[in-house]
Amino acid sequence: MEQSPIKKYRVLADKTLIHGDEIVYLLKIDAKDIADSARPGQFVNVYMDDSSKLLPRPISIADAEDGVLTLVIGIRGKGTAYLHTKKSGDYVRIMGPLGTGFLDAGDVSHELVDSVSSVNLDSPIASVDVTNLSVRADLRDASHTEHLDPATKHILIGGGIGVPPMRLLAKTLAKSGVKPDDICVVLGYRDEPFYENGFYEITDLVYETSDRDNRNVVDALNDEKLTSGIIYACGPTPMLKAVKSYAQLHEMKLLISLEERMGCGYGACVGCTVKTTAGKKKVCKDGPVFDASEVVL
Amino acid sequence: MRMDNVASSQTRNQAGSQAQSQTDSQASSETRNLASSKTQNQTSSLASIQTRNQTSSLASSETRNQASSKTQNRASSKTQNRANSLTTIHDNDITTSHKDRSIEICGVRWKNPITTAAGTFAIRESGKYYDYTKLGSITTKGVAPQAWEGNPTPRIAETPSGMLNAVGLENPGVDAYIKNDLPILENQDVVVIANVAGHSEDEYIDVVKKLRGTRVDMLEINISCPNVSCGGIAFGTDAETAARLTAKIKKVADKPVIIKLSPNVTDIVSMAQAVEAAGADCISMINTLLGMRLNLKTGLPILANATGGLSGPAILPVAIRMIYQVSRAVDIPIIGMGGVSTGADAYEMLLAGAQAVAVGTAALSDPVAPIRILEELEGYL
Repeated sequence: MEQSPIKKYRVLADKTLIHGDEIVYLLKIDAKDIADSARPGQFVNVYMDDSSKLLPRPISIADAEDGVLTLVIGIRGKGTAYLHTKKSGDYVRIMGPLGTGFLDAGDVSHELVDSVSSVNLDSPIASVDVTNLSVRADLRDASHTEHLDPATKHILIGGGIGVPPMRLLAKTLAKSGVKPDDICVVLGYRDEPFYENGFYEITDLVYETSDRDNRNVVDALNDEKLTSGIIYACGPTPMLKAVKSYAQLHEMKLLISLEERMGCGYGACVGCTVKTTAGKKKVCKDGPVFDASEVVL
Repeated sequence: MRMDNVASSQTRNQAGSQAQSQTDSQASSETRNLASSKTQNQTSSLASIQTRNQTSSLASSETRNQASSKTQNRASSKTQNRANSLTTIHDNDITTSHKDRSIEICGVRWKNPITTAAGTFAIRESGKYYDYTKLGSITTKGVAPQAWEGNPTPRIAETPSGMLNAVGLENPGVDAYIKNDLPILENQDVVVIANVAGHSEDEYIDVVKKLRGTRVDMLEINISCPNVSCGGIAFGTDAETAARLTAKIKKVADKPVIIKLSPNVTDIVSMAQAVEAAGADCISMINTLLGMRLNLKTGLPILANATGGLSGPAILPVAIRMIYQVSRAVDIPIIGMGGVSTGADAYEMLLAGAQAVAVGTAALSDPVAPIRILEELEGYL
């Protein structure tokens, strides 16, 4: 029997973070294999337990440490509402980690993946099994922070449900030797903040903004004169567009994580694509993180 | 806003062209009546053989159509063969692991009756999760003469026990397929079916010509994609157009030609008979059913293309019904598809009259679904 890459994992903790017009909740999951190989900006496929809801929900990885995977989920429809019923001790079906993250060396890492898989494809057995997949992830994991320039300022911008993936990114940057003062975090909320506390453990440079106060993330960038370094952003498209204009104005490199309705989440169905300067690319496989200069938003 | 306008005008166009082609097919009422009486005849002969499928209406149609000739004999012997082979399979129920499950379709030997459905299998991406050389064949994503961009996003919407897609046959073009994908398959022991797309007869023929002499073993001609504005389904909803394309392709093809039928027609039996008469070696069916979902907040379609193709378990009964009807009206083999998500579903499709079964949407819910379904099916065979 070929083993399905979808496995059952136990929920260790569940918590509703905000419960207003929008509902956001957190699940901590005992998923050592995923947590050990997860890189910032990657996502997992979470599957429903009921076949009337066929498709996986792609959920960004908020945190991964000591074998525990943290997902922060906003209710958007039936699937995310269903997952909100999961409590500590329940099981969820997950496949991952998936996609190309913030610190993956762009096209270089794609070539690495492709060369590894084509070697295996040429071998008598066509498939690369799950063990090989994690080997591949480790391969990339070992080197994915080496290209970081320690002198660069890293500006992390999260908007709404785009805030959670910034946590693993901030943590990974700090662990790889970036000084706390070189990590700036700008968070944009509609109303109440959520999942913000962890950022203060990493750096003092955390700027919270809210539509309630008529202040958005670009206002914060301007106020704090954050005009040099590399920007990482995840959030709604209008926010990404505004940040892209800001980055262009100040000639800063910008990496953005895109959201798209997905089918399979692993590159087979070509349901989620984005226009880039190099033709259409798959959000689930080539992304979700792209260099903003290549993407037509 | 602009995209909405585009979407709605596309819907109008599609709806218009569909209505047009339905009228066309209704115009050929003679063919259709002929076909339906033939179906009844064959169904009745089936009823006399397969006790499983006996119903009172079938029995009464038997008495109605007793005076039928050559056709009925042909159909009944074909059905008899199928019934025999199913019986034989049942007799071997005890050993399930290392039996020969191979089948022969149009002279091509498959290791077993399971393939992948076009557009849901990618050599590299799916190959990471399972050994696809264990399958009877693999059907690769549709290729056109040049690269196609496909439709704008969103292209995917979930529906109860199904999904809509409006990918629109995004593909890198046949040259890139030959250069980048086929070499991976060069030394692999698996039957390869290339799915062929086009906007016009010339485009289909261009692809078929380029695939001559390649690693590809069989061609599946996609005349049923509901998501491309011209070509695709336009060929699949009018019997005469489908037959003309089939005949032209047969002239230039050097491998067996499978015609993939659309369920979005008034009478699928007449479509099947038309392509069989034009020389098709095999039929695959069904492609997706045209559908739509709206966003409750905006009142607008969820898909940028407005309409999309419905697939998944929701369409299984439609596929079973259509395969049942068509298999009794044609002599060429059928590759069945449409909502198969378990070995039981695949077995049901074989019982309905398919010789092989393709797994599609199930692979989006679980990358290894084709292998799982094959293993489950072996329990039935």
